[in-house]
Amino acid sequence: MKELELKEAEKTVESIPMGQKAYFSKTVTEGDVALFAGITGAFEPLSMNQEFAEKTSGLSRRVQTMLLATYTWPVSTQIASPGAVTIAQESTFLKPVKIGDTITAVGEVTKKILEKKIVIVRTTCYNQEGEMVMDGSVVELMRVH
Amino acid sequence: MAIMQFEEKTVDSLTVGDFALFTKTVSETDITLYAGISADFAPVHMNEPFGQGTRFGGRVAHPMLTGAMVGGAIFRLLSPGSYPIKREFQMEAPVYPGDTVTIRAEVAALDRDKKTVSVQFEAYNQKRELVLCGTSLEGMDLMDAEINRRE
Repeated sequence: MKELELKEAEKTVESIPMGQKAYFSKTVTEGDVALFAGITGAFEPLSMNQEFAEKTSGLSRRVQTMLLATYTWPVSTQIASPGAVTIAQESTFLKPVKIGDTITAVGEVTKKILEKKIVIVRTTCYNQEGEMVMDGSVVELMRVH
Repeated sequence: MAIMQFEEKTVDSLTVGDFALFTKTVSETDITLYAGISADFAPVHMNEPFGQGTRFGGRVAHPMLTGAMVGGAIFRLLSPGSYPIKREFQMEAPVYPGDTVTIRAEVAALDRDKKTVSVQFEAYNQKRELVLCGTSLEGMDLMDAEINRRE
């Protein structure tokens, strides 16, 4: 009898095709913002204080920018995990995201450095109107052992 | 008008070398909650036997969790007048559940015309080993917004 396979095969820099894409969508809720503040200590008044947010930006409370950067992780994980360790990340924030907005993160393999076992995933986030709200990249090292 | 007092931090009130610290133990709860809000269930963070089979010898915290804690230090350094424009960081060493991470964020440069601040940050574990470092470009013109001047 064939042994039951319960372990996912690890990916390698060779097995990930250039241009591979992954998507992740999520509505950012009040709960996400509160939990994120508790986990990270980032109690930015723009995100946590309605009065302050309205007075300074004319908008309701916005999502912490790093919470937005967080949504690049599920797409880079879909592409590279298991078998990858993230070693660097960068993101440029283009537009504020309000609580209740629905964010779609898109990941695309744009570069592979075979000898260094590195995969670079460009990560962008869009809101429900299709506007790009974040642009950045994640560097994955394809070596866990 | 509601009573709301904030210490005014502007690009002019800051000096290169100003810094802020933020220390926190990265708990099991943090990792679980973080996986729940980010949907990052990569086995190296969430699967103990898988973690033990890696060169880390166990599960490690999400790099972005430590990266996001930078916000805790930058918040203390620049808030309330700032917002991030661009942040980048690289991992230097793994953070394990139970490690205590201290973020140090320092004003590296000021652009008084563009009203931006460059912040350099590092994260250390309880053994004072560098686990993460990076830079952030922060906008500081929030309090000058038109809506604010009308008040």
